[in-house]
Amino acid sequence: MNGKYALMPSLEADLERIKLLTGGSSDILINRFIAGGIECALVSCEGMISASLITELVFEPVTAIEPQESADALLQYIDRYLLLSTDRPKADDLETVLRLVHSGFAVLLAEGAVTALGFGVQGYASRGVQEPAGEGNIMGAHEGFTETIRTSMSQIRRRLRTPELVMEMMQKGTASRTDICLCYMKDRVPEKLMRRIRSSLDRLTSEAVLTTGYIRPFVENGRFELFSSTGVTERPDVLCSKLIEGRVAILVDGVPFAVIIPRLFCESFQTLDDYSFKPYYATFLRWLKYIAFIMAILLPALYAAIVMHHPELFNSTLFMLLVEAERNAPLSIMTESLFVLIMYETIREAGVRLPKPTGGAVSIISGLIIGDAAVNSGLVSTPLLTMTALAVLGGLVVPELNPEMTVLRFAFLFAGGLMGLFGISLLACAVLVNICATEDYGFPYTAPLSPFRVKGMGDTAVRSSMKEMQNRGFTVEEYHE
Amino acid sequence: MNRITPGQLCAMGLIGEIFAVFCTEGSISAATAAGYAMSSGVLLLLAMPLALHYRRGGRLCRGAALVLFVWLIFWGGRLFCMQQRTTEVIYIPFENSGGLAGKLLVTGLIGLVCLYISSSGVKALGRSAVIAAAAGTLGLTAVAFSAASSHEWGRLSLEWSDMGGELVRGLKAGGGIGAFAVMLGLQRESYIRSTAVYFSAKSAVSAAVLLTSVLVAGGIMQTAEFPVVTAAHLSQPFPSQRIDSLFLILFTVYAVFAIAVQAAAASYLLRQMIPGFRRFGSLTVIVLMLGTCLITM
Repeated sequence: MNGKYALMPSLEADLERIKLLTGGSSDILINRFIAGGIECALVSCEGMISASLITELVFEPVTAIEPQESADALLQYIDRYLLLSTDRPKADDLETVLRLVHSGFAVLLAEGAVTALGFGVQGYASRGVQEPAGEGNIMGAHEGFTETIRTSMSQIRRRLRTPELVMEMMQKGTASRTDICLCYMKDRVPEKLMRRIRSSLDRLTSEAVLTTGYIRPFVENGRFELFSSTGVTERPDVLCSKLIEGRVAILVDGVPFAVIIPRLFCESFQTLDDYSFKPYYATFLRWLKYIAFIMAILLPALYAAIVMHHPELFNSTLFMLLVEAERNAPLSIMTESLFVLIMYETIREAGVRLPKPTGGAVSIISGLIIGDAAVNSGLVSTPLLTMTALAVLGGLVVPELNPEMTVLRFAFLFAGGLMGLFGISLLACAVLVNICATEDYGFPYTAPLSPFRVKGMGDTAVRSSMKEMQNRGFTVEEYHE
Repeated sequence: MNRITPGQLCAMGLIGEIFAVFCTEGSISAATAAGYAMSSGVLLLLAMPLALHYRRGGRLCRGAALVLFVWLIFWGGRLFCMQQRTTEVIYIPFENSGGLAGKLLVTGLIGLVCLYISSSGVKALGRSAVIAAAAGTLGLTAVAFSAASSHEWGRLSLEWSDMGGELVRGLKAGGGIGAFAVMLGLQRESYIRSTAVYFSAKSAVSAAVLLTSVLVAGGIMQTAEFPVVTAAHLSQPFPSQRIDSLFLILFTVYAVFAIAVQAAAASYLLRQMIPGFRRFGSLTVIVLMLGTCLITM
C-alpha cells in the first residue's frame, strides 16, 4: 500500500487529510463522537447512506460501548461482537476509506488506530423495478433491470438459484470507479474464454464508464463490423436464458442494461414470447420477422431500382398504375425516396429526444400535416410513400437491429437508384461478407446458418417444441470455431 | 488460423464453376454437358494426389505455390474478361449506355467489391459463399422452373463424335481447380472425401445448367452467342412480365464470389511466399488480375 496514504494513529491528522483529498467537498459528512472512551469519527457521503440506518445501527450501539483499553480493541469489539452490518470491510489507507465512503459505506476511524472499519449502510435514491421500456413482452415477466447493480444482480440470482452462477465484481473508470459485474455459469463457460474477456476488460482504462457503450468496443472484435457481436438486454429473464446457454454477461452500475457476449445474428429475431406461444405460431412470427428485416432494408431500394432501371419486372397493370402515380411527381424516384426517408428519420429523432408531451405534437404534425400535405401537393407519390412506410414499419419489428437497418436502407437506396439490381447485388455481397466476418472470441455471428449447424435450426428456421428443446443441452460453445 | 469446412470449400468452388458455365460461349448440346461432366472426372483424378498429399500432412512447396499463384492470377483475369463479354448481353444500367467507360466502371466496381471480400479473410468468404450458394440455388431453381414451359425433350440428342472437343471445352472452363487446390489445404480434415464430393457436385451442377439451357434454347442454338444467358432470357414464366433481372442478380453475385475466391486464394499464397506482403496482398492480386484482363481482352 502507498505509504503516503496510509492511515495514521492521529485521528485529527487523518481527518485533515480526508478534507484535503476531497477538497472540502460539502457532501462528505464527518461525525465526531466518543465510543468506549475513545475519540472516533464516522465518515460518510451525504445522499449515499441511509440516515436512519446509521442512527439505529451505528450511533446508538457504538456510543453505548463500555470503555475499551485501546482503539484497536474498540474496533475489534465492534467487528466481532456488535455485527452492525453484514458487509464490514476494513481499510488501512485513505484511498480505500474514500472509495468505501463514495460507495455508500460509513467508515469509522478511531484515535490511535491505523485501521478503519466500514459499515454497509447504503441508502441512496434509486428507481424501483419497472417494466422495460424497450423489450416488449406479452406472456413473460414484466420486470426489467434497474440502475442499481445490486438490485440487478439479485434479479438474476432469484431466477438462477444455482451455485454454478458466478458474479465477479470489479471497478472500471479511473474517475467514475463504476462497479461492473461479470456474470456467467462456471460449468458452461470455458475458463479460457473468461480469461480472454477479463483481459479485454483490462484494456478499458477510460476515466468513466457511464453506459454499456463504454464497454462494448473493448469486448468486441476491433475490425469494422456493421452489426454488433455483443448484445444488450434490459430483461433479467432474457439474460438468464443467455447465461444458461453459456454466454457471459456484464452488468454496469447506473445502467439498466446488461451486455451479452457473444451475440448471434439469429437472436435478434427471438423473443421470450416465442417460447410461450405454440411452436407453429412462434415459427410463423419468426419468419415474419425475417421478411420484415429484408423488407426494411431492401424495399425502397428495390422499388427505386425496378421502377428506374428494370420496369419489365412489373406486370403491365402494376406498371401502368405506377406510371400514373409517378407522372406528376416533380422529383426523381431516388430523390423522392431520400426525401421521405430523411423526413422520417428527422421526425423519429425529434420524437425520441423531445419531452413526451411535445413528442406527441411532433407525431401529429409529421403524420397528419407533413405526410398528407406532401402527397396532396404531389411532392411524393402514394406508392413510394407506401413502400417507405412498409420499410420503416418492418424495421420496427426487429428494434434491436434498427440502427443498422436504417443506414443500410440508405446505402441500398443509393446503390439501387444509381445502378439498379446490379448495384443492389454488389452491395448485398459486400454486406453479406461483412456480416459473415463478424466474430467475437471465436463465435461466428452468423451461426448456426453459416457455419451451418443442423441442431441450431430447431430454434432458428423453426421453433421446436419445448419437449424437444429441453433435452438438447445446448450451449453457445457448440458454435465456437 | 483461417480454417474452412468441407461445405464452405464446396460452395466457394461451385460458385466459380457455375459462373464459368454462365459465361459459356458458342453452341452447346447434350454432348457439352457430358463433356463437362467427364472433365470433372479428369480434374478429380488430377486433384486426388494433392488431396492425398494434404492428408499425409504435406503442404504446398514454394515452387508449386508460385505456379498456382500465376495460375490464379490468369484465371482471375480470365473471369474478369468472361464477365465483361457476358455483360454485353445482360442489361446493367451504366454498362449498356456508357460504352467502354460503362464497361470499365462495371468491372471496376466488381473488382472493388472483390477486393473488400478477399481482404476480409478466407473464413468470412467461406461462410458467405455458403449463404450465396444457397440463395443462388434457389434462384437457379426458379429459373429452371420458369424454363419448364418452354423446354423440348427432343433437343437432347447425344453426338458421340463431338465428345473429344467438348471434353477439352470442359477442361478449359475448369480453371477453378487452382483455387480448389489452395483452399483444400485450408481444411482441417476429410481431404479425399471433400475432393470427391466437390468434383461430383461440380459435374452434376454444370450438367444440370447446361442441359436446362439446351432444352430451352436448343432451337436457336446456332444463333445464341451465350447459350445459358439466352436460355435465361427465354425462360419467362409469366405472359406479361419478364424475370431477366433475376438472372442479373445471380450473375452479379456469382461473378463477385467467383473472382473473390481466386483473389483470396492468390492473396493467401502471396502471404505464404512473401510474409511481409500482408497488408496490400489482396489489392496487388486484384490489380494483377485486372491487368491480365486488360491485356487479354
